[in-house]
Amino acid sequence: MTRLIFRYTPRDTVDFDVCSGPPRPEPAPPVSKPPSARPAEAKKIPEPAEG
Amino acid sequence: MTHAAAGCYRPAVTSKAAIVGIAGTALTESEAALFRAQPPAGVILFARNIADPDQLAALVVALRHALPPDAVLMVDQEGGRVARLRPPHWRAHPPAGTHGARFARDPQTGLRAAWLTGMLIGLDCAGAGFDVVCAPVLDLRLPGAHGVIGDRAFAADPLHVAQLGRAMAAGLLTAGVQPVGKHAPGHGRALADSHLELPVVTDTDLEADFLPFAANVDLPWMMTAHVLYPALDATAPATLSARIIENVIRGRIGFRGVLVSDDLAMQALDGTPAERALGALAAGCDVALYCSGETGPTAGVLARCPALTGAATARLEAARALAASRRAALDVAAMNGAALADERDRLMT
Repeated sequence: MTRLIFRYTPRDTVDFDVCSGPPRPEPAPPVSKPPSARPAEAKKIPEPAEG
Repeated sequence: MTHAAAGCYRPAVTSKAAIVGIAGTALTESEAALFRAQPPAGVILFARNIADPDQLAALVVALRHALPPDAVLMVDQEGGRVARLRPPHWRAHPPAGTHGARFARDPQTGLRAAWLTGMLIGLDCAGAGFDVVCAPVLDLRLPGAHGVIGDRAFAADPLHVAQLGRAMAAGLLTAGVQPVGKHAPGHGRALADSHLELPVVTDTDLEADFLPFAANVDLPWMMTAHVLYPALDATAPATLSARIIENVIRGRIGFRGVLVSDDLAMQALDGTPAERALGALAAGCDVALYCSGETGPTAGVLARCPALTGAATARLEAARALAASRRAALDVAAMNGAALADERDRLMT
């Protein structure tokens, strides 16, 4: 009986650096940037009068 | 100092090619006498044998005293519903199916969670005195199949099962216990519960079922399925089939480690327990597993079972050496169980 030839063998391709190792701390929440100066409100351009 | 000088000399014994269960939470005199007269290759414990850590520790000491030094202590601890060490004394672990769902959303997180679960189960079991853990399940989780596997399996996709099973097995090994891939060559298509009757899988293309086993062919142990696959052998289920074990499990899949039968007390098989055990060994299993814990039938199995073969002894030793090397390399301080569990639970939410 012929041996199977698997197209994909996870034992060669699973990256155990990805899934092994000591406890990993919870990632810190993203630091929110201090609110920057609000951009000056665009001046309202009065709509041209129709007519 | 020699063992004899230390007062623990025992003559060399050749263990029987069987792993057996016991009845209760303590080793009885008759069980201890049986194990000294007919030493099994190991003992498997179930929920009926485990009450709390102190009781289990005393039982492990009694078993170690009665068994040959190289006997294994085995336990089913897959996570999910198949767990013999349970809260409030031990950690609960999510089932394989939950890891599969996590993997489907984010493969790297799913693999890390599976590794962590393997590591945590391994730490729990090694701490309790076990050598061998019957996990991971490498069967496919297929829609319409009997629920006896269900969420014990990681996923339907054989590539997902292969990777997640490998990650969990790696975690178990890192903790220093020997994983058992099961149920070769694949139980996922079964429409019946082999605890109650013999499932018959009529599919002829089983390549997908084989893949997770082939991808994990270097695991130290695998367990056979009590499933009839007429396309592979119309006369005998995998556990009792020399054709399947030789051509598929040892051949096409290429497994070289310890092959143990599934529990021979299950109703899928005909004959007496001893006849089933002899059949499994004749078919090519290294070790027959008989779990009922009933002393009479267990004595019958051990009386009729032959000794471990030389090949089986070598495979058992290789499995033991692999786990021992991982245990020796384990940096216990770095592997804080509580922190690992926190991380795993965070990843699974």
